[in-house]
Amino acid sequence: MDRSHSQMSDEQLVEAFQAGHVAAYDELVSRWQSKIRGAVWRVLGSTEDAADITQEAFLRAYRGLKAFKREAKFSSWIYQIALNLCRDSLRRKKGKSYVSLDEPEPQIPALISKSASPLELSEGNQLAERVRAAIQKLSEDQREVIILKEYEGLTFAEIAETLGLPTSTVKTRLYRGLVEMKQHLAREGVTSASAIHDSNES
Amino acid sequence: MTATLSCEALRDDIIALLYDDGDSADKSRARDHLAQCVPCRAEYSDLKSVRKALQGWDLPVPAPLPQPRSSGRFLAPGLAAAAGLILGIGLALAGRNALAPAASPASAASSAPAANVQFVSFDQLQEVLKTQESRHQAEIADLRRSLTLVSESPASSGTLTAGALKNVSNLSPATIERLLKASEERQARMFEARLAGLRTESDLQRQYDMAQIAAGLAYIDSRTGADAARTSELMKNLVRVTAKPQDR
Repeated sequence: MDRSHSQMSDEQLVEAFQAGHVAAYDELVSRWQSKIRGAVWRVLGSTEDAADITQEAFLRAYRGLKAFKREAKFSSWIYQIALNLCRDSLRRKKGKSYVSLDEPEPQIPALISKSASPLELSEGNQLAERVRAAIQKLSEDQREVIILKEYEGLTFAEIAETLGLPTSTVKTRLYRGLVEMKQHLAREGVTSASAIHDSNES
Repeated sequence: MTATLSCEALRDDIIALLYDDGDSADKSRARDHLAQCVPCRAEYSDLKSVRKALQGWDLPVPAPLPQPRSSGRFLAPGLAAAAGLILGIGLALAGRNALAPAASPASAASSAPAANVQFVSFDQLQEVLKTQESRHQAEIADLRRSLTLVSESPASSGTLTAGALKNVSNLSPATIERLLKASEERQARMFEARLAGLRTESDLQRQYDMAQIAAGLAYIDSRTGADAARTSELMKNLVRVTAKPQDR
């Protein structure tokens, strides 16, 4: 890859691409593909289709990059494309109304262990599973905002740009999403008291 | 706990403080409110613990890459356009060098492992075709060799067989000659039958493979030349990029 490309900002890379330097797209892909794949994986709730959707997102971005208006950030745009593909995928799956083997019966983990501490859960790699299960219960809107903020580290302004929403709506969705997560996590056997305990210890 | 109207109004500020993302004035307003509002303080603490729990959901390692698919499933109806495109581009890159004239042998070699991951279906197809072809060729060559041996040395084998037969029976040389001829004809017929069987099997496989390849090429042909070249360039880039270890 062109060394100079790695020192360019996303905006400069987009500009270079639009000026005919196709290789600039390599750097954009390299910079964003694992982030996008992570977000897609989390939104979908499983590894299934995450790689395909990520690849499709970058293909679509490639096709549309010539016409991309540079007032928006490339990252917001590629997240937007990927999230749209995720929504389509989830809608198609909902239409099929199949039973996911990835998703455990919601009540079972809570029945097994109501009072497991996060430490114990981590040891058994169960905390991740319970968080995943709890996130899947959120509405699509809340899930997207939480994933973009919590795992992708986007600013409120970036999330607002990605989702085409006012910043205040993003904050409200995030707040409500977190409150719901607290309830879902409690049902999954992860209590806030034990989480705080874990938080203080670490 | 009951949130008052002012608590509701300060939620955006509290979220800004929770994520340390926002104006310092917003965050300071939230801090002031939390200092005097017990329910909000409790909720803030809960939200912090939810955030802590959320961090327990790690990405799988290594990050998922496209999985190899069986060639049968690869071109099934309703397959994602990207998958069709990948097969098409893979074919274009491998079979139609005109689309990628700049690719040097070195770069082709360096991108080969990535191609194995990204375009596994196409590679597998090629590999399977090659293996089958060489297996069939080898079998055909064996059969030809054995037939040639039989037809080239009828005298010696005939003499030996005739000699052996003479010891155990009273068959005349003419009868032996006739039996040998019949035997050779039978062997030739069997050989032809086996050869025909192999050809049929090979043809069926070829037809199946060609149908798959045609589907991929049809996708390419439906695009304009410039578009296809542009997309092939992207695929080259993707292959090159995905071959590198990820920093992020």
